[in-house]
Amino acid sequence: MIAVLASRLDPEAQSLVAEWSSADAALLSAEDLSRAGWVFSPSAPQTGTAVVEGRRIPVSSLTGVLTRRPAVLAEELSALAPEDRAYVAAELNAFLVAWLAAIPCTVINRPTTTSLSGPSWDGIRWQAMCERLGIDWAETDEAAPSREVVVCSTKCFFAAGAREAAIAKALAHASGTELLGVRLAAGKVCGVTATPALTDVDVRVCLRKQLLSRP
Amino acid sequence: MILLWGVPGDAPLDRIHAALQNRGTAVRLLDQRGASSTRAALRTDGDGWVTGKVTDATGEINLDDVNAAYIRPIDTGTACPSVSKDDAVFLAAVAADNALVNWANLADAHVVNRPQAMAANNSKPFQLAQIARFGFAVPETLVTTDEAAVRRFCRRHPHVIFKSVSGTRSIVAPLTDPEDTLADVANCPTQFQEYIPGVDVRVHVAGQRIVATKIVSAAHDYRYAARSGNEVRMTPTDLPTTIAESCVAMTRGMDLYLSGIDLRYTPAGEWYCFEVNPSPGFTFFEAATNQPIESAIADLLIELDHARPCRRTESGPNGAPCSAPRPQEAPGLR
Repeated sequence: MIAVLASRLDPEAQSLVAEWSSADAALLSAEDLSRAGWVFSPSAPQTGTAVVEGRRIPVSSLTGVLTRRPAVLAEELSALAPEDRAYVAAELNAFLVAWLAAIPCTVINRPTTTSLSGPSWDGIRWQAMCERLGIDWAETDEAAPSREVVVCSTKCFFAAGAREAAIAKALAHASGTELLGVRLAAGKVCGVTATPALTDVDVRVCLRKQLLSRP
Repeated sequence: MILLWGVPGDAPLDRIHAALQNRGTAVRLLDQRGASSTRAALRTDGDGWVTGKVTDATGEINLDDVNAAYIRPIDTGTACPSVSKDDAVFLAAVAADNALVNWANLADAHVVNRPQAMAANNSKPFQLAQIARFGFAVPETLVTTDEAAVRRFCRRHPHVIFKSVSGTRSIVAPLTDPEDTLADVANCPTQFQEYIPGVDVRVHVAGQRIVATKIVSAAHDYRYAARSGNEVRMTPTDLPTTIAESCVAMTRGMDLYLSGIDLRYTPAGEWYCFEVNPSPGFTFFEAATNQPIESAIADLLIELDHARPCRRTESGPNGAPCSAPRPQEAPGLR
C-alpha cells in the first residue's frame, strides 16, 4: 500500500490516489488520525498499525508514504470540541514526526522536527544553503522567467542541461530530500519547495516506482 | 557581545542577564514583548551565514557583533498578548520573531541553543528514539488510539504512566483507572510508558560542565508535587563517570550547548533517560540546592563569546556543536 498523507481537500492528492489505485494507494487524512487503530512502539515501529481511509492496516503492509503537508491544522479537526483542537493538532503533529521518521517503508519526504513533508524553510535559509554549495541565488527583483526543476530520487525532470540538474540534485542531497522542486531563473535559484506540483506524468511514474520499492 | 532573546520575567533569562552584567560582559537583551515594533533586516554574507541588523525600542543591534546568544523565545501570541491576532501589528511581530529564529539557526555565532536543534523535544517519542541511540535505557513506550493495545501493554507492565506526545507541558500521570482514560484514547494518539521505579536525577549540561541534582518525591511528577500534596527534596549528587560522559556526549550529539536531562536510577542499578530539555528552567533546581547552574551557563556564554566564530571551526570550544553540517560544493556546478 501507498499512503498519501494529505488533506482530503487536496485535489492533487486525490488525483494521485485515484491514479495509483492499482498499487493500493489511499489518502491518510487528518480524520484518520483521530480514529481508533493507531499503534506505534518507537522501539519496534515495524510492528504497529495505522488507520488509512478509515481502515486499520499493519505498518508492514505499507511500501511507501508520500507526505504532502507540513502539518495537520487545528481547523481541520472539526469533529473535536473547539477548545481541544489546538492541543490535539499539536499532539497529532508530534506523533506524526515520530512515526514518519521511524517506519521502515519508503517515506518521501521524511519529516524534519518542524515539518511533516521535509524542510519547510524560508527563502533566506535556502539562499544560505545555495551559498554553501556555491550555487547562485536570484535576488527577488530579478524578473527573468522561471521554471521549476523537479528532483525525484536520482532523477531530475525539466532541467535545461546538466548544470541545472546538478544544482537541483545538490540541493536535494544537502537538504536530505528525495522529492524537491527547485525554481530557476537564468541559471539562478529563486525558490525551493519540498512539495512540488506533481502534475507531470513522468514525475508521477518515478514517484510511484520509488514508493513501491522497499528501502 | 552576547545577545539574550526572550521575555523579561522569565527567571532563567533574568538570572543569566544579571550574571553576565555582574561579570562585566557586553550583553544586550532583546525583549520579545516588543516584537511588534522590532524590525529585523537579515541578509546572507556570501558564505551561507545569516547576519544583518535588528532594531527594537532600545536601539539597533549589528548582528555581526554578536558572537554568542542565549535564547528563550516563547510563542508570539503569548509574548504579545495585548495585540490582536487579526491585526497587522501582530503579523509584524510574527515576522520579527521568525526572522530571529532564522538568524538563530544560521548565525555565525554560538547560539544556546539553535531552534532547529531544540525542536526535537517537541515530539517526545521522536526524542526518545534519539536518546536510545546514544545508549541510554529508555522506558518501553506505546503511542496509540487503540484501547486493546493499551490493555495488552498494561498486562505486560504492572505499572503504567501516560503523558502528552508533544512539547505542550503535560503532567506525568499514573494509569490508575484504565476505563476512565481509554474512553477518549481514540480521539488522539496518547503516550503510555512502563513505570520505571527509582530516584530522579536531573543533570544540567553546559558545554563540558555538569551539575547533577538528586530529587526525592512521592509524586509521580515532581514538578507538580505540590498539587498532590507531596514534598520534593533536592540535593546535589555525583554521577558515575560513564553516565556523566554520556550526558555530555548526548548533548553535543543533539547539537546542543545546554541541556536539562531527566534520568532515573533504578534499584537494579540501571540509568534510564526520559527526556532532554533543550531550554531548561534551571532556576527551580538552583533555588533548592544552591548548585552553580547559573554560573555554569554564564561561564559557557562568556567562553563562547570569546571563541572563534563558527565558520572557522568545525566545532565550538570543548567540542560543543557550532552549526548545522556544511555541505561541500557539488561537482558540475561551476
